[in-house]
Amino acid sequence: MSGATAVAAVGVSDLTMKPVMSNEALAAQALKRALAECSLKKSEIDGLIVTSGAPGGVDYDKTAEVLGLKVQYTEQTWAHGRFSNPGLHNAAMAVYCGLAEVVACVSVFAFAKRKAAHGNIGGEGDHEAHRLGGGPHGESPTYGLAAPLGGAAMAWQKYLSRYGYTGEEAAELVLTQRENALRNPEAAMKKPLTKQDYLAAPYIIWPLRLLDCSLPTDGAVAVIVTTAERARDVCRQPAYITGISGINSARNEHSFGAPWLGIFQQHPQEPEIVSVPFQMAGIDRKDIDALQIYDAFLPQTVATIERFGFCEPGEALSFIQGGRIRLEGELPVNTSGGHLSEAHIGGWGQIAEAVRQIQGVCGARQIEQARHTIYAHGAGDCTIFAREPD
Amino acid sequence: MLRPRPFVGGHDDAPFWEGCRLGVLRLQRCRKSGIYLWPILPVCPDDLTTNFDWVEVSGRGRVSSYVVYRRLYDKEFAGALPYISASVELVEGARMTGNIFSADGDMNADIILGPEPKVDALIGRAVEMFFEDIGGGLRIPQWKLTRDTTSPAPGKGGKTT
Repeated sequence: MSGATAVAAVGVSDLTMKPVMSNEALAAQALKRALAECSLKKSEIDGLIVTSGAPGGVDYDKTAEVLGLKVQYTEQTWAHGRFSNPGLHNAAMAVYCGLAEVVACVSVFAFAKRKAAHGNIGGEGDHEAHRLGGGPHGESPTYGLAAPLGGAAMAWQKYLSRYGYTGEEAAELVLTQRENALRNPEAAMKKPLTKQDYLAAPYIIWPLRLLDCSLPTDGAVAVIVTTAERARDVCRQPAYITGISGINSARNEHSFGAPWLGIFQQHPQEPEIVSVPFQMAGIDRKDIDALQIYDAFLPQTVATIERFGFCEPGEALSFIQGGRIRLEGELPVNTSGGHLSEAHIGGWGQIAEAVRQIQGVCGARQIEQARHTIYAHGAGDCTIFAREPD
Repeated sequence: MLRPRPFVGGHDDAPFWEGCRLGVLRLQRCRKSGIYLWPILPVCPDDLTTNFDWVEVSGRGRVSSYVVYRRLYDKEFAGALPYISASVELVEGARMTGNIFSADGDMNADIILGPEPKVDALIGRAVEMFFEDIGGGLRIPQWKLTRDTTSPAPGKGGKTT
Protein backbone atom coordinates (compact mmCIF):
# COMPACT_ATOMS: atom_id res chain seq x y z
CA MET A 1 0.00 0.00 0.00
CA SER A 2 3.07 2.26 -0.10
CA GLY A 3 2.08 5.51 -1.79
CA ALA A 4 -1.55 4.47 -2.26
CA THR A 5 -2.89 6.87 0.37
CA ALA A 6 -1.97 10.37 1.43
CA VAL A 7 -2.70 13.12 3.87
CA ALA A 8 -4.46 15.87 1.95
CA ALA A 9 -4.68 18.40 4.74
CA VAL A 10 -4.02 19.05 8.40
CA GLY A 11 -5.56 21.56 10.77
CA VAL A 12 -4.30 22.58 14.18
CA SER A 13 -6.43 24.38 16.77
CA ASP A 14 -5.13 27.14 19.00
CA LEU A 15 -2.58 25.53 21.33
CA THR A 16 -2.79 26.96 24.81
CA MET A 17 -1.15 26.57 28.20
CA LYS A 18 -4.40 27.55 29.94
CA PRO A 19 -7.85 26.08 29.34
CA VAL A 20 -9.61 28.65 27.13
CA MET A 21 -12.22 26.64 25.24
CA SER A 22 -14.14 23.40 25.42
CA ASN A 23 -12.73 20.19 23.99
CA GLU A 24 -15.54 20.15 21.43
CA ALA A 25 -14.68 23.68 20.31
CA LEU A 26 -11.05 22.67 19.89
CA ALA A 27 -12.08 19.73 17.68
CA ALA A 28 -14.26 22.01 15.57
CA GLN A 29 -11.50 24.56 15.14
CA ALA A 30 -8.99 21.91 14.03
CA LEU A 31 -11.36 20.34 11.51
CA LYS A 32 -12.40 23.70 10.11
CA ARG A 33 -8.78 24.66 9.59
CA ALA A 34 -7.99 21.33 7.89
CA LEU A 35 -10.91 21.75 5.51
CA ALA A 36 -9.67 25.25 4.67
CA GLU A 37 -6.42 23.69 3.43
CA CYS A 38 -8.09 21.59 0.74
CA SER A 39 -11.13 21.62 -1.53
CA LEU A 40 -12.90 18.77 0.25
CA LYS A 41 -16.30 19.51 1.74
CA LYS A 42 -17.15 18.36 5.22
CA SER A 43 -19.97 16.25 3.77
CA GLU A 44 -17.39 14.22 1.85
CA ILE A 45 -15.82 12.90 5.07
CA ASP A 46 -17.04 9.32 5.46
CA GLY A 47 -14.61 8.01 8.09
CA LEU A 48 -13.55 9.17 11.56
CA ILE A 49 -10.63 8.15 13.77
CA VAL A 50 -10.29 9.36 17.36
CA THR A 51 -7.32 8.56 19.63
CA SER A 52 -8.51 10.38 22.71
CA GLY A 53 -11.81 10.52 24.51
CA ALA A 54 -13.68 11.95 27.46
CA PRO A 55 -12.72 13.38 29.87
CA GLY A 56 -9.37 14.42 28.32
CA GLY A 57 -10.71 14.55 24.77
CA VAL A 58 -13.90 14.02 22.79
CA ASP A 59 -15.33 10.54 22.10
CA TYR A 60 -16.02 9.53 18.49
CA ASP A 61 -19.82 9.70 18.78
CA LYS A 62 -19.79 13.22 20.21
CA THR A 63 -17.17 14.25 17.65
CA ALA A 64 -19.45 13.16 14.80
CA GLU A 65 -22.45 14.78 16.44
CA VAL A 66 -20.78 18.10 17.28
CA LEU A 67 -18.99 18.41 13.93
CA GLY A 68 -22.01 17.36 11.89
CA LEU A 69 -20.27 14.36 10.35
CA LYS A 70 -22.02 11.36 8.86
CA VAL A 71 -19.48 8.56 8.66
CA GLN A 72 -19.69 4.88 7.76
CA TYR A 73 -16.36 3.93 9.36
CA THR A 74 -15.07 4.88 12.78
CA GLU A 75 -12.60 3.76 15.42
CA GLN A 76 -11.58 5.08 18.81
CA THR A 77 -8.52 3.91 20.71
CA TRP A 78 -7.41 3.94 24.33
CA ALA A 79 -6.86 7.65 25.09
CA HIS A 80 -3.07 7.63 24.93
CA GLY A 81 -0.85 9.50 22.51
CA ARG A 82 0.91 6.24 21.73
CA PHE A 83 -2.02 5.46 19.42
CA SER A 84 -1.42 8.37 17.04
CA ASN A 85 0.52 6.32 14.48
CA PRO A 86 -1.90 3.37 14.64
CA GLY A 87 -4.82 5.81 14.36
CA LEU A 88 -3.36 7.31 11.22
CA HIS A 89 -2.60 3.83 9.85
CA ASN A 90 -6.15 2.75 10.56
CA ALA A 91 -7.38 5.69 8.46
CA ALA A 92 -5.00 4.79 5.62
CA MET A 93 -5.97 1.12 5.73
CA ALA A 94 -9.67 1.94 5.75
CA VAL A 95 -9.16 4.10 2.66
CA TYR A 96 -6.96 1.48 1.00
CA CYS A 97 -9.53 -1.27 1.68
CA GLY A 98 -12.41 0.86 0.43
CA LEU A 99 -14.24 1.07 3.75
CA ALA A 100 -14.18 4.85 3.49
CA GLU A 101 -12.78 7.33 1.01
CA VAL A 102 -12.07 10.40 3.11
CA VAL A 103 -11.15 9.76 6.75
CA ALA A 104 -10.73 12.55 9.27
CA CYS A 105 -8.54 11.84 12.30
CA VAL A 106 -9.67 14.29 14.96
CA SER A 107 -8.07 14.14 18.39
CA VAL A 108 -8.23 16.53 21.31
CA PHE A 109 -5.79 16.38 24.22
CA ALA A 110 -6.75 18.59 27.14
CA PHE A 111 -3.80 18.50 29.54
CA ALA A 112 -4.24 22.16 30.54
CA LYS A 113 -7.74 21.33 31.79
CA ARG A 114 -6.43 18.32 33.67
CA LYS A 115 -3.66 20.37 35.27
CA ALA A 116 -6.12 23.10 36.25
CA ALA A 117 -8.41 20.52 37.86
CA HIS A 118 -5.84 18.22 39.53
CA GLY A 119 -2.62 20.25 39.71
CA ASN A 120 -0.65 17.35 38.22
CA ILE A 121 -0.66 15.00 35.25
CA GLY A 122 -0.98 11.64 36.99
CA GLY A 123 -1.31 10.94 40.69
CA GLU A 124 -4.64 11.34 42.46
CA GLY A 125 -7.61 10.49 40.25
CA ASP A 126 -5.49 8.51 37.80
CA HIS A 127 -7.36 5.21 37.83
CA GLU A 128 -5.20 3.55 35.19
CA ALA A 129 -2.24 3.60 37.57
CA HIS A 130 -4.04 1.13 39.83
CA ARG A 131 -4.17 -1.76 37.36
CA LEU A 132 -3.12 -5.20 38.57
CA GLY A 133 0.60 -5.45 37.87
CA GLY A 134 1.13 -1.71 37.46
CA GLY A 135 -0.02 1.28 35.43
CA PRO A 136 0.59 1.88 31.72
CA HIS A 137 3.86 3.69 32.44
CA GLY A 138 5.04 1.49 35.31
CA GLU A 139 3.07 3.34 37.98
CA SER A 140 2.75 1.73 41.41
CA PRO A 141 0.93 4.29 43.58
CA THR A 142 1.36 2.31 46.80
CA TYR A 143 5.10 2.90 46.49
CA GLY A 144 4.69 6.53 45.46
CA LEU A 145 5.65 5.62 41.91
CA ALA A 146 2.91 7.88 40.58
CA ALA A 147 2.36 9.61 37.23
CA PRO A 148 3.70 8.80 33.75
CA LEU A 149 6.76 10.94 34.56
CA GLY A 150 7.80 8.39 37.21
CA GLY A 151 8.19 5.66 34.59
CA ALA A 152 10.05 8.07 32.33
CA ALA A 153 12.46 8.98 35.15
CA MET A 154 13.05 5.29 35.84
CA ALA A 155 13.90 4.74 32.18
CA TRP A 156 16.15 7.81 32.11
CA GLN A 157 18.08 6.70 35.17
CA LYS A 158 18.63 3.32 33.53
CA TYR A 159 19.76 4.90 30.28
CA LEU A 160 22.16 7.41 31.85
CA SER A 161 23.78 4.91 34.18
CA ARG A 162 24.05 2.18 31.56
CA TYR A 163 25.76 4.40 29.00
CA GLY A 164 27.69 6.73 31.33
CA TYR A 165 26.01 10.10 30.77
CA THR A 166 25.25 12.78 33.35
CA GLY A 167 22.00 13.92 31.72
CA GLU A 168 23.27 17.42 31.00
CA GLU A 169 24.04 16.27 27.43
CA ALA A 170 20.29 16.35 26.77
CA ALA A 171 20.28 20.17 26.96
CA GLU A 172 21.09 20.30 23.22
CA LEU A 173 17.86 18.48 22.43
CA VAL A 174 15.70 20.67 24.65
CA LEU A 175 17.28 23.90 23.40
CA THR A 176 16.97 22.82 19.75
CA GLN A 177 13.28 22.08 20.17
CA ARG A 178 12.73 25.39 21.92
CA GLU A 179 14.43 27.30 19.11
CA ASN A 180 12.26 25.45 16.59
CA ALA A 181 9.16 26.38 18.57
CA LEU A 182 10.16 30.04 18.50
CA ARG A 183 10.01 29.81 14.69
CA ASN A 184 6.56 28.22 14.89
CA PRO A 185 3.82 30.83 15.34
CA GLU A 186 1.36 28.14 16.51
CA ALA A 187 3.58 26.90 19.37
CA ALA A 188 2.17 27.41 22.87
CA MET A 189 5.63 28.15 24.28
CA LYS A 190 7.06 31.55 23.32
CA LYS A 191 9.90 31.99 25.82
CA PRO A 192 13.55 31.66 24.75
CA LEU A 193 15.62 29.19 26.75
CA THR A 194 19.34 29.09 27.60
CA LYS A 195 21.42 26.13 28.65
CA GLN A 196 21.72 27.78 32.04
CA ASP A 197 17.92 27.96 32.35
CA TYR A 198 17.65 24.32 31.42
CA LEU A 199 20.19 23.13 33.98
CA ALA A 200 18.63 25.34 36.66
CA ALA A 201 15.13 23.97 36.08
CA PRO A 202 13.91 22.06 39.13
CA TYR A 203 13.88 18.29 39.25
CA ILE A 204 10.33 16.98 39.42
CA ILE A 205 11.22 13.32 39.62
CA TRP A 206 15.00 13.09 39.64
CA PRO A 207 16.83 12.62 37.28
CA LEU A 208 14.19 14.38 35.12
CA ARG A 209 13.73 18.14 35.21
CA LEU A 210 10.64 20.22 34.61
CA LEU A 211 11.91 21.10 31.13
CA ASP A 212 12.25 17.42 30.18
CA CYS A 213 8.45 17.18 30.29
CA SER A 214 5.91 18.02 27.62
CA LEU A 215 3.85 21.17 27.93
CA PRO A 216 0.51 20.60 29.67
CA THR A 217 -1.49 22.21 26.86
CA ASP A 218 -4.98 22.05 25.43
CA GLY A 219 -5.30 21.57 21.69
CA ALA A 220 -6.63 19.50 18.81
CA VAL A 221 -5.39 18.34 15.44
CA ALA A 222 -7.36 17.16 12.42
CA VAL A 223 -5.66 15.10 9.71
CA ILE A 224 -7.51 14.21 6.51
CA VAL A 225 -6.50 10.97 4.79
CA THR A 226 -7.69 9.86 1.37
CA THR A 227 -6.51 7.96 -1.69
CA ALA A 228 -3.42 9.24 -3.50
CA GLU A 229 -5.55 10.09 -6.57
CA ARG A 230 -8.15 11.98 -4.59
CA ALA A 231 -5.47 13.82 -2.63
CA ARG A 232 -3.89 15.09 -5.86
CA ASP A 233 -7.28 16.52 -6.88
CA VAL A 234 -8.11 18.24 -3.61
CA CYS A 235 -4.84 19.76 -2.41
CA ARG A 236 -1.67 21.37 -3.75
CA GLN A 237 0.78 18.86 -2.31
CA PRO A 238 -0.27 15.53 -0.82
CA ALA A 239 1.95 13.94 1.81
CA TYR A 240 2.00 10.36 0.54
CA ILE A 241 2.12 7.64 3.17
CA THR A 242 4.92 5.41 1.90
CA GLY A 243 6.05 3.43 4.94
CA ILE A 244 4.46 2.38 8.21
CA SER A 245 5.16 0.16 11.21
CA GLY A 246 2.99 -0.65 14.21
CA ILE A 247 3.35 -0.59 17.99
CA ASN A 248 5.41 -3.42 19.43
CA SER A 249 4.01 -4.98 22.58
CA ALA A 250 5.68 -7.60 24.74
CA ARG A 251 6.99 -8.02 28.26
CA ASN A 252 10.23 -6.29 27.29
CA GLU A 253 8.44 -3.21 25.97
CA HIS A 254 8.14 -0.09 28.08
CA SER A 255 6.72 3.28 27.07
CA PHE A 256 9.85 5.23 27.81
CA GLY A 257 12.86 3.19 26.80
CA ALA A 258 14.17 0.68 24.30
CA PRO A 259 13.38 -2.99 25.02
CA TRP A 260 17.02 -3.79 25.69
CA LEU A 261 17.50 -1.19 28.45
CA GLY A 262 16.30 -3.17 31.46
CA ILE A 263 13.45 -0.98 32.70
CA PHE A 264 11.06 -2.70 35.13
CA GLN A 265 10.36 -6.15 33.62
CA GLN A 266 12.68 -5.76 30.63
CA HIS A 267 15.43 -8.36 30.73
CA PRO A 268 18.57 -8.63 28.63
CA GLN A 269 18.12 -8.89 24.88
CA GLU A 270 20.02 -7.79 21.83
CA PRO A 271 18.98 -4.45 20.32
CA GLU A 272 16.34 -4.80 17.60
CA ILE A 273 16.45 -1.90 15.16
CA VAL A 274 13.36 -0.90 13.16
CA SER A 275 14.10 -1.24 9.44
CA VAL A 276 10.98 -2.52 7.67
CA PRO A 277 9.22 0.85 7.15
CA PHE A 278 12.29 2.26 5.41
CA GLN A 279 12.33 -0.74 3.06
CA MET A 280 8.59 -0.32 2.50
CA ALA A 281 9.15 3.31 1.55
CA GLY A 282 12.09 2.37 -0.67
CA ILE A 283 14.49 4.72 1.11
CA ASP A 284 17.50 4.70 3.42
CA ARG A 285 17.53 6.40 6.79
CA LYS A 286 19.83 9.06 5.36
CA ASP A 287 17.03 10.07 2.96
CA ILE A 288 14.94 11.29 5.90
CA ASP A 289 14.88 15.11 5.81
CA ALA A 290 13.12 15.64 9.14
CA LEU A 291 12.47 13.37 12.10
CA GLN A 292 9.42 14.03 14.28
CA ILE A 293 9.38 12.08 17.54
CA TYR A 294 6.74 11.44 20.18
CA ASP A 295 8.21 13.15 23.24
CA ALA A 296 5.87 13.25 26.20
CA PHE A 297 9.19 13.12 28.05
CA LEU A 298 12.73 13.58 26.80
CA PRO A 299 13.88 9.94 27.27
CA GLN A 300 11.47 8.92 24.50
CA THR A 301 13.26 11.09 21.95
CA VAL A 302 16.59 9.52 22.81
CA ALA A 303 15.16 5.99 22.75
CA THR A 304 13.41 6.57 19.43
CA ILE A 305 16.53 7.89 17.67
CA GLU A 306 18.30 4.67 18.68
CA ARG A 307 15.46 2.24 18.04
CA PHE A 308 15.06 3.48 14.48
CA GLY A 309 18.78 3.08 13.86
CA PHE A 310 19.75 6.72 13.32
CA CYS A 311 22.69 5.97 15.64
CA GLU A 312 23.98 3.02 17.65
CA PRO A 313 22.30 2.04 20.94
CA GLY A 314 23.65 4.22 23.75
CA GLU A 315 25.05 6.87 21.41
CA ALA A 316 22.08 9.22 20.97
CA LEU A 317 23.24 11.77 23.54
CA SER A 318 26.52 12.10 21.64
CA PHE A 319 24.84 11.89 18.22
CA ILE A 320 22.57 14.89 18.85
CA GLN A 321 25.45 17.27 19.61
CA GLY A 322 27.15 19.76 17.31
CA GLY A 323 24.09 21.02 15.44
CA ARG A 324 23.25 17.70 13.77
CA ILE A 325 19.58 17.79 14.82
CA ARG A 326 19.05 21.53 14.27
CA LEU A 327 17.01 22.87 11.37
CA GLU A 328 20.12 23.31 9.23
CA GLY A 329 21.67 20.00 10.40
CA GLU A 330 21.73 16.62 8.68
CA LEU A 331 18.80 15.24 10.69
CA PRO A 332 16.48 17.97 12.02
CA VAL A 333 14.44 16.66 14.97
CA ASN A 334 11.03 17.90 16.14
CA THR A 335 11.06 20.89 13.83
CA SER A 336 7.85 22.39 15.26
CA GLY A 337 9.13 22.17 18.84
CA GLY A 338 7.59 18.80 19.67
CA HIS A 339 5.64 18.06 22.81
CA LEU A 340 8.33 19.76 24.88
CA SER A 341 8.03 23.19 23.25
CA GLU A 342 5.10 23.31 20.79
CA ALA A 343 2.26 21.48 22.58
CA HIS A 344 1.25 17.98 23.67
CA ILE A 345 -1.49 16.90 21.27
CA GLY A 346 -0.78 13.19 21.71
CA GLY A 347 1.57 12.89 18.73
CA TRP A 348 -0.79 14.53 16.24
CA GLY A 349 1.20 17.77 16.30
CA GLN A 350 4.22 15.79 15.09
CA ILE A 351 2.11 14.21 12.34
CA ALA A 352 0.88 17.64 11.27
CA GLU A 353 4.47 18.89 11.18
CA ALA A 354 5.74 15.87 9.19
CA VAL A 355 2.98 16.54 6.63
CA ARG A 356 3.55 20.29 6.50
CA GLN A 357 7.30 19.88 5.94
CA ILE A 358 6.42 17.78 2.86
CA GLN A 359 3.90 20.42 1.76
CA GLY A 360 6.55 23.14 2.15
CA VAL A 361 4.35 25.39 4.29
CA CYS A 362 6.51 25.68 7.42
CA GLY A 363 7.75 29.24 6.89
CA ALA A 364 10.73 30.15 9.06
CA ARG A 365 11.30 26.52 10.09
CA GLN A 366 10.88 24.96 6.64
CA ILE A 367 13.49 22.32 5.73
CA GLU A 368 14.62 23.08 2.21
CA GLN A 369 13.32 20.55 -0.30
CA ALA A 370 11.99 18.13 2.28
CA ARG A 371 11.18 14.97 0.33
CA HIS A 372 10.85 12.37 3.09
CA THR A 373 9.77 12.92 6.68
CA ILE A 374 9.00 10.46 9.42
CA TYR A 375 6.95 10.50 12.59
CA ALA A 376 8.38 7.87 14.92
CA HIS A 377 7.46 6.65 18.40
CA GLY A 378 9.56 4.68 20.86
CA ALA A 379 7.41 1.54 20.64
CA GLY A 380 8.70 1.00 17.11
CA ASP A 381 5.71 2.48 15.27
CA CYS A 382 6.15 5.11 12.60
CA THR A 383 4.79 6.74 9.48
CA ILE A 384 6.97 7.85 6.58
CA PHE A 385 5.61 10.65 4.41
CA ALA A 386 6.91 11.51 0.96
CA ARG A 387 6.54 14.23 -1.64
CA GLU A 388 6.14 11.65 -4.38
CA PRO A 389 4.10 8.44 -4.13
CA ASP A 390 7.02 6.23 -5.22
CA MET B 1 2.73 5.23 56.85
CA LEU B 2 -0.63 5.61 55.17
CA ARG B 3 -0.33 4.79 51.46
CA PRO B 4 -2.62 4.52 48.44
CA ARG B 5 -4.01 1.00 48.73
CA PRO B 6 -2.45 -1.63 46.50
CA PHE B 7 -4.64 -3.48 44.03
CA VAL B 8 -5.76 -6.63 45.83
CA GLY B 9 -7.68 -8.81 43.42
CA GLY B 10 -8.51 -11.68 45.76
CA HIS B 11 -8.05 -14.29 43.02
CA ASP B 12 -4.60 -14.81 41.53
CA ASP B 13 -2.84 -12.77 44.22
CA ALA B 14 -4.33 -14.27 47.41
CA PRO B 15 -1.29 -16.47 48.27
CA PHE B 16 0.99 -13.44 47.91
CA TRP B 17 -0.93 -11.27 50.37
CA GLU B 18 -1.39 -14.19 52.74
CA GLY B 19 2.42 -14.65 52.65
CA CYS B 20 2.98 -10.98 53.45
CA ARG B 21 0.61 -11.24 56.39
CA LEU B 22 2.60 -14.24 57.68
CA GLY B 23 5.93 -12.46 57.07
CA VAL B 24 6.98 -14.61 54.12
CA LEU B 25 7.81 -13.20 50.68
CA ARG B 26 6.64 -15.74 48.14
CA LEU B 27 6.38 -15.59 44.39
CA GLN B 28 5.07 -17.90 41.71
CA ARG B 29 7.64 -20.16 40.07
CA CYS B 30 6.92 -22.16 36.93
CA ARG B 31 7.54 -25.89 37.56
CA LYS B 32 8.75 -26.49 34.05
CA SER B 33 11.06 -23.55 33.38
CA GLY B 34 11.91 -22.48 36.93
CA ILE B 35 10.97 -18.96 35.90
CA TYR B 36 9.57 -16.61 38.56
CA LEU B 37 6.33 -14.89 37.58
CA TRP B 38 6.10 -11.27 38.60
CA PRO B 39 3.92 -9.23 38.61
CA ILE B 40 1.46 -11.88 39.77
CA LEU B 41 -0.10 -13.78 36.90
CA PRO B 42 -3.05 -16.17 36.58
CA VAL B 43 -1.03 -18.52 34.35
CA CYS B 44 2.53 -19.04 33.22
CA PRO B 45 2.72 -16.86 30.08
CA ASP B 46 4.87 -19.47 28.39
CA ASP B 47 2.32 -22.30 28.22
CA LEU B 48 -0.81 -20.72 29.79
CA THR B 49 -1.02 -23.43 32.45
CA THR B 50 -1.26 -23.01 36.22
CA ASN B 51 1.74 -25.27 36.50
CA PHE B 52 3.47 -23.11 39.11
CA ASP B 53 4.18 -23.17 42.84
CA TRP B 54 4.20 -20.34 45.36
CA VAL B 55 7.72 -20.47 46.78
CA GLU B 56 9.51 -18.42 49.39
CA VAL B 57 12.26 -16.22 47.96
CA SER B 58 15.40 -14.87 49.60
CA GLY B 59 14.34 -11.24 50.01
CA ARG B 60 17.80 -10.22 48.85
CA GLY B 61 18.46 -8.24 45.71
CA ARG B 62 20.02 -5.17 44.20
CA VAL B 63 18.74 -1.84 42.90
CA SER B 64 18.03 -2.07 39.18
CA SER B 65 16.83 1.52 38.77
CA TYR B 66 15.50 4.25 41.04
CA VAL B 67 14.14 7.78 41.03
CA VAL B 68 13.63 10.55 43.57
CA TYR B 69 10.20 12.14 43.88
CA ARG B 70 10.40 15.86 44.63
CA ARG B 71 6.81 16.66 43.64
CA LEU B 72 3.77 15.42 45.51
CA TYR B 73 1.36 13.33 43.45
CA ASP B 74 -0.67 11.50 46.10
CA LYS B 75 -1.58 13.25 49.35
CA GLU B 76 -0.52 10.25 51.46
CA PHE B 77 3.11 11.07 50.64
CA ALA B 78 2.90 14.70 51.82
CA GLY B 79 5.22 14.08 54.77
CA ALA B 80 7.51 11.71 52.90
CA LEU B 81 9.10 13.96 50.22
CA PRO B 82 11.70 13.51 48.90
CA TYR B 83 11.50 9.73 48.69
CA ILE B 84 12.97 7.02 46.46
CA SER B 85 10.91 4.67 44.32
CA ALA B 86 12.90 1.83 42.83
CA SER B 87 12.90 -1.32 40.80
CA VAL B 88 14.70 -4.04 42.75
CA GLU B 89 16.04 -7.19 41.13
CA LEU B 90 15.86 -10.16 43.46
CA VAL B 91 18.68 -12.69 43.37
CA GLU B 92 16.00 -15.02 41.99
CA GLY B 93 15.62 -12.68 39.00
CA ALA B 94 12.18 -11.10 39.57
CA ARG B 95 12.08 -7.29 39.56
CA MET B 96 9.80 -5.75 42.18
CA THR B 97 8.86 -2.12 42.71
CA GLY B 98 9.35 -0.62 46.14
CA ASN B 99 10.81 2.21 48.19
CA ILE B 100 14.42 2.33 49.28
CA PHE B 101 15.21 2.90 52.96
CA SER B 102 18.60 3.43 54.57
CA ALA B 103 20.10 0.64 56.63
CA ASP B 104 18.79 2.58 59.64
CA GLY B 105 15.27 2.61 58.22
CA ASP B 106 15.17 6.22 57.01
CA MET B 107 13.10 6.89 53.88
CA ASN B 108 14.29 10.47 53.20
CA ALA B 109 16.14 10.57 49.88
CA ASP B 110 18.35 13.49 50.87
CA ILE B 111 19.61 11.55 53.88
CA ILE B 112 20.18 8.41 51.81
CA LEU B 113 21.79 10.06 48.78
CA GLY B 114 23.33 13.29 50.06
CA PRO B 115 22.83 16.74 48.49
CA GLU B 116 24.18 16.18 44.95
CA PRO B 117 23.81 12.53 44.04
CA LYS B 118 25.27 11.06 40.87
CA VAL B 119 22.74 9.40 38.62
CA ASP B 120 24.03 5.90 39.25
CA ALA B 121 24.66 6.27 43.00
CA LEU B 122 22.42 3.37 44.04
CA ILE B 123 22.49 1.22 40.90
CA GLY B 124 23.53 -2.29 41.84
CA ARG B 125 23.46 -1.57 45.60
CA ALA B 126 22.48 -4.55 47.72
CA VAL B 127 19.12 -4.39 49.48
CA GLU B 128 17.12 -6.68 51.72
CA MET B 129 13.41 -6.95 52.10
CA PHE B 130 11.33 -6.06 55.14
CA PHE B 131 7.58 -5.82 55.53
CA GLU B 132 5.86 -2.49 56.09
CA ASP B 133 2.46 -2.50 57.76
CA ILE B 134 0.12 -0.17 55.84
CA GLY B 135 -2.94 -0.80 57.95
CA GLY B 136 -6.16 -2.62 57.18
CA GLY B 137 -4.45 -5.98 57.60
CA LEU B 138 -2.01 -5.42 54.75
CA ARG B 139 1.76 -5.63 54.77
CA ILE B 140 3.88 -4.79 51.72
CA PRO B 141 7.45 -5.75 50.82
CA GLN B 142 9.95 -2.89 51.14
CA TRP B 143 13.70 -2.58 50.66
CA LYS B 144 16.50 -1.51 52.95
CA LEU B 145 20.09 -0.87 51.88
CA THR B 146 22.42 -3.42 53.47
CA ARG B 147 25.42 -2.21 55.45
CA ASP B 148 27.58 -4.37 53.22
CA THR B 149 27.74 -2.31 49.99
CA THR B 150 28.91 -5.17 47.75
CA SER B 151 26.26 -6.69 45.49
CA PRO B 152 25.06 -10.24 46.04
CA ALA B 153 26.08 -12.78 43.41
CA PRO B 154 23.60 -13.38 40.59
CA GLY B 155 20.92 -15.75 41.75
CA LYS B 156 20.28 -19.40 41.10
CA GLY B 157 16.91 -18.80 39.51
CA GLY B 158 18.50 -16.42 37.05
CA LYS B 159 15.52 -15.28 35.07
CA THR B 160 11.92 -14.22 35.25
CA THR B 161 9.24 -13.78 32.73
